[in-house]
Amino acid sequence: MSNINVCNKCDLIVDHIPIAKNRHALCPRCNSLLYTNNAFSISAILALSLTGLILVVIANVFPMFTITMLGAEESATLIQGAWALLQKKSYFVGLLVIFCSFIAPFLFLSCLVQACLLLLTKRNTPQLILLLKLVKFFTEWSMLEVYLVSFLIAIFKLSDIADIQFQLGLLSFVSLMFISSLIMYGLNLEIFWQKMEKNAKR
Amino acid sequence: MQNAKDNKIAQCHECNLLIDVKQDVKRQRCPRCFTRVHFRIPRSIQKTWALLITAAVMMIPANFLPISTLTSAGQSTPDTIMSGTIALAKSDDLGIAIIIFIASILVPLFKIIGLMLILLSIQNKIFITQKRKLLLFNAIHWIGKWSIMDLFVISIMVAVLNRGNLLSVDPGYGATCFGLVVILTILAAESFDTRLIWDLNHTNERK
Repeated sequence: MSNINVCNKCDLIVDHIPIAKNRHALCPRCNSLLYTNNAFSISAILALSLTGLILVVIANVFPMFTITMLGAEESATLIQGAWALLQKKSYFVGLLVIFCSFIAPFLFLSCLVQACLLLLTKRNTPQLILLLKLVKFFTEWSMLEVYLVSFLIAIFKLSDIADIQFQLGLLSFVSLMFISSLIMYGLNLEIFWQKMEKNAKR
Repeated sequence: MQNAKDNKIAQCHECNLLIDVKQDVKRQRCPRCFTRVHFRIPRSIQKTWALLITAAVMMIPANFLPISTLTSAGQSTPDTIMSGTIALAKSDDLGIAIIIFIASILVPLFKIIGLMLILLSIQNKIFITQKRKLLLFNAIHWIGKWSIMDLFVISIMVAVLNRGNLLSVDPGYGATCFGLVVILTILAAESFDTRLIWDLNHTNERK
């Protein structure tokens, strides 16, 4: 069944036609994307996700901004927002925020790094399947770009009552968002699955 | 124009592998990732309806209970989503007010009503063309995560404004309900199988 494609939006069977680089194959019935030819290689994904992991650390260790208000200065890091919610006994919202803004992007990157390393060193452990499934799951729940917009809104609201200085944490957070968007743009898990099958056959 | 299902080809939900489905094998698993093989997401319509109705019910407390309470100089003022937006609009932050209004009121409503329209149309209650149904679904799927914005804003405000009685923000029960609405609508979109749009043919489908 290597010569056919099935549209995963409308279930139409389409013949597989080789396409040029940077072109998209679209479903003739529903116009959804069938396949592209510009996915990143596994090593490229590994490089990007390692960069992302380093940025996650920097974004969480260094404060995103310092705020001067009512005569006192205070700095805030990424997880502090969710942490404050947990301390005020708002567990559900706190966990939701911490999951979407920190846990999901972090686990997305670390599962991806692990999967890339296992595939490139040709080690097919049973965890590999789980890792690839988790990567797929966490792409849905990582909401860095939403967090960045929310952050800007919060800053805008606060700027009336306080002086705000941006810090290193924000810079690495913005870079992290770009890196993770880039990964999601170029990530094609089909390459990973095929590499896994190829390694298993050896 | 042939459907894969009619040719006994299933696509794995997890790894998208194409699998020949054998008639006599019960509980077939994907040879690549060992997920159970289904032609469609099992009980997709029922699941989506259940999640949607729950989300629609949760919209009521999410909008009427206070989402956050601002304490300033000893005075506490609870704010619902709407009153917070109106207060923002009055204090000259019209742009921000519009963004918050769209993200926390219009988007959840759009998601719930849109998915309900798709489901009703699939169940032959109303007529929407297949391509428009998919377009609507793609919009709902894409916009899904943006409605959580208000909760992120609240979490940052809670973290920064913590001077006790002088100036602080506390999350309210409305925030919990709103969080549930966001999760439920995202899950509803996830559990809907777009292939059903082409499976269940419309009785009065125009050619």
